[in-house]
Amino acid sequence: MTETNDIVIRDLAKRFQDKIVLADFNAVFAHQAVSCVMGPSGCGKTTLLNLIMGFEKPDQGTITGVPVRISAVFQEDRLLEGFSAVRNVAFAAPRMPHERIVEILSALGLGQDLNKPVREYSGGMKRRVAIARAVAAEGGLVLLDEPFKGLDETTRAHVASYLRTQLEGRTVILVTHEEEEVRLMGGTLLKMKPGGNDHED
Amino acid sequence: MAQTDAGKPHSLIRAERLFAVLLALALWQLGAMFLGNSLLLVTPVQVAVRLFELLQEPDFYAVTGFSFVRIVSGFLLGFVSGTLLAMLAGRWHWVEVLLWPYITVIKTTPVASFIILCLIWLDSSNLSVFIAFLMVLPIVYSNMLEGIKAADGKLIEMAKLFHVSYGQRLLYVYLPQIKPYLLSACSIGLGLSWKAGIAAEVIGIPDGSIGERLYEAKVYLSSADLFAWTVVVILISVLFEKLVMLLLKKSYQRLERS
Repeated sequence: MTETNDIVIRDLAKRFQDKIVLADFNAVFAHQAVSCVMGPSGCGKTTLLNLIMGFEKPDQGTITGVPVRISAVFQEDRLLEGFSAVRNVAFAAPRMPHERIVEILSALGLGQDLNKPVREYSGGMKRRVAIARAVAAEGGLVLLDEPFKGLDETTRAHVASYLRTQLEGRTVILVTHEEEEVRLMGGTLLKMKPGGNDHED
Repeated sequence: MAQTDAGKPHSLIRAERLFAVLLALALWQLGAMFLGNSLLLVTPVQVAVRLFELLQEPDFYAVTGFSFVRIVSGFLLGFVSGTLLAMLAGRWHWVEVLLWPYITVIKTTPVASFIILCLIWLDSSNLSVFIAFLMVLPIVYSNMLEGIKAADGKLIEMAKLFHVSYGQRLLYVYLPQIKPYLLSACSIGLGLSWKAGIAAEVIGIPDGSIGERLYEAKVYLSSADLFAWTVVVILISVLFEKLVMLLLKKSYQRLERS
């Protein structure tokens, strides 16, 4: 039995040329809860998120319950490199007051370098800007694609704890190949196998 | 001390260029003295003297203003139209396909053919506006379209996911990414608009234009006038290009600081 706003995936299939990335994939991601999807590289985790975001069209199957507004941390940072961290966050959350944006960035340890263009940031700092943007942007569904990539152990724990509190009440799907990230975020775990055609809860 | 990419200080590069210019002027002076006929080649000193005289003439500023306003208007028209068409072609492929024959014909047709053809349709005083527009349009269109196509698709996806308005996407995603294409289009377009605009004036001979003065220089075999007016055109063209490029770069800096 599924809740009305659960994200329900039925018989999903996707191939790129001859490569089958997902086949007969089924899953239910609970409403307002954290769900983690774990699997090795190339098993179709990012493709799954791209299908949910509508960036790719499935060859077969359905995805239901996806809200109109989605927020995300992409596999790549996808930042406006020439602009400040504040501008990057405001870009995705134009109605958010400046003070709140600064508060989010500061909470993620970026309070000192708010006006520098993010191209001058380190990889870990850029990742935190991408995370801040996802927190600030509206959206009942938040997709996190290996969100802690490039962060050191201490920062990971701090950022994960911040995310857990800030994203409470929103549906969160995290994909990763690291057990550590699942442990940090908590929630239910779904394991994907190569080809995406087999999974276990 | 400011360094260039090649590691040479700017002051050294400036000194090298100044030396090259002085050497070229010296060679010109020697060549003109060797020929000994100001009809064939005037000396740089004679050109400087004539230029100074021109600056004293009351209608000098009216003449340069006449050509400046028309050529710059043509450039701006071409720039705006080329940008809008590139945006449409970037959005809808069929627009690019339908525009392709026109852009190709404009790019490849000799400017003199357009000038003569347009003289039949247009008043000669506005010919330079249209010719400058026509020369700038395909350059701006092609450069901007290339820039739009080269824009990072992943950033555009990100903006769409976050429901960012089209205006904000234009300002923060497209504009920074097309910067090199925009600067290149402006630089090439400005130079070309002056060359083609003055050519249109020389053929159309509108009253009170630089083109008319160049035509008169030809009729009266006055090489000093020809060279002096050419120097005026070069100076205005280079200074205006530098001003536009500076304004564009400053605008980008302001945008990045926003």
